[in-house]
Amino acid sequence: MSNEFIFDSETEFIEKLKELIKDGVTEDDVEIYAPYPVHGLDAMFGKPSKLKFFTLTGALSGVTTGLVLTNYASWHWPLITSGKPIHSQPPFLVVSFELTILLGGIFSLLGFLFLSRLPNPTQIIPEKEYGNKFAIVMKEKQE
Amino acid sequence: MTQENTAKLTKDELDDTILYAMEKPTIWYWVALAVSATCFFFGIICCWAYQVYTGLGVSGLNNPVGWGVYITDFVFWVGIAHSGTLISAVLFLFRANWRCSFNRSAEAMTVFAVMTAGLFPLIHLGRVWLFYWLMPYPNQRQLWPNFRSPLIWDVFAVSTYFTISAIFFYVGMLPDLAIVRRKATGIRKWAYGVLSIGWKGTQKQWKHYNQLYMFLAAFATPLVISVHSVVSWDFAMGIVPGWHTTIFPPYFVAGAIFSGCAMVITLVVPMRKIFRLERVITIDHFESLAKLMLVTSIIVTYAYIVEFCIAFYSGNMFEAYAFKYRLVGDYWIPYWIMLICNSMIPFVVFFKKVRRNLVALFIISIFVNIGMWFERFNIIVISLSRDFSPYSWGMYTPSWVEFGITIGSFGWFFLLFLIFTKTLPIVAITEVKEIISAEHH
Repeated sequence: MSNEFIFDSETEFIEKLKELIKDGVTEDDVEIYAPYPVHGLDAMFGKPSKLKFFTLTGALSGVTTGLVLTNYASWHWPLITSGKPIHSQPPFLVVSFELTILLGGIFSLLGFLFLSRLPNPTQIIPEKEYGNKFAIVMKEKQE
Repeated sequence: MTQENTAKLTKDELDDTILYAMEKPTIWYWVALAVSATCFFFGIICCWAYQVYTGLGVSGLNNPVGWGVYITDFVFWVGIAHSGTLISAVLFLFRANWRCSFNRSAEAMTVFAVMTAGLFPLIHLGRVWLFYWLMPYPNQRQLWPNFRSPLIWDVFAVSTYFTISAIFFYVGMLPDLAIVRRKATGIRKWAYGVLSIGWKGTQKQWKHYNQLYMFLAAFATPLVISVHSVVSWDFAMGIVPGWHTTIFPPYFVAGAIFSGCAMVITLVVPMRKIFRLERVITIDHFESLAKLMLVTSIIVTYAYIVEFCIAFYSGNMFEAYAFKYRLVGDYWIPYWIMLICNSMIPFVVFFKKVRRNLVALFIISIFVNIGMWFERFNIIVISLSRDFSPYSWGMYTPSWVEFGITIGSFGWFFLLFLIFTKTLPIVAITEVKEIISAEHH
């Protein structure tokens, strides 16, 4: 097939890719397969991952949930223990901190699944796999 | 760090070397599985059922020693979990390449150890069927948990820790599951196909994947420190002499990593031998791990000394007495076991010959595991048995039910780990490939 380039070596693969990019190929024109994340490949195509926005949203919702939950619960059921103030923020921060990480992590995972189009039921048993080879597959141009 | 052995393997050979572990098990595997399952059945299932049916009185717990072996086990297992996250997340952020031959087993160990630890607060409950009262949820009586209590922080910390570790474990394994799928046939191909959720390894997927892995590592690093700090606050927030010190969080975190490194050595030394992973997990890697164990051993020893200094310089007679009692009181045997196992035996790792001898490391790691279990026992039981007023002093001896459940927890942990070695890739194949390729350039 003319629109498929397969390489054993990472160096040759990178060189070919550089050549293609020089010819004006963009991220949307090719599908690239690699057995492991190739260092520097992300930098060759401009667009960085949008995952960070999911992570930030998750972390912010976590810290908000934590502060609101602890303060609301203490206001709703004011239980005085050891003469401490009802709304003691330092201990509440512990709960908020844990929830920041919990929701931040869960949102990141969901964001990753969404951005990578996973789970993908059609690829559970893929028709073609490149294994340990590097592959550049040109997408057919729709005209 | 030299890695000539690894570099000699091609990518295809590497797949086969690591996946060799997943082939048909030998008779010894079944024996080990049967022993673990038996311990689990008699320990956790039978002893716990007996305790639930009869009541918490079957344990040796009493007044004043209301926390005993169960809480010791809880702290011990949470501690074991910690080095897994350290090896996978913290060393990832520091770009320490030797982590990649251990990180999968260490992550598995983390997940299973947290699962084991999570059992103990439940076992310790008198009415375990009401465990959900720990969670904050709107209820008819309009009650909420007391968020100023360290025990509630523990609920949040441990459940977050379990969730994040499980996500980290699975995400790290995703590309490797796709490799297993490629090699498998028949029903196994379908099973691993479903587990790898259609991963193809395209450039776009890797781009998001790298970001995700970095974010998870960045989340897990402060998390691992917070979890054992919260566990230490279960004690340090109380006013019991021997508990009420500010050094507890760093002391506990160092101790956790110390015991965790020892447990990784205990698990990986036999695993490497049985599954012939000598070319992937090298002696150099073990040496790095042993150094980490040594550093944490020194920190823990330092904490033991500082504890005494604080107690004596404080001028507080209760605090000073608590530490004198630890050293020469009724519980001197567990205390000296702890000192010998944690602060003397590991120091032989200073010798390079010992660091590079796997049999020696394995034996040392067993001692460290024992020593760290006793450390938690000493902190909890000795402090509780003698607090301020001699009127309320009392002794505690664990009952056979508590011993049974402790043995059962080891059975449960090893059962999960043994199942893991046969069903999932035990070394992070993709990451090893990445390292190999980086060394070629």
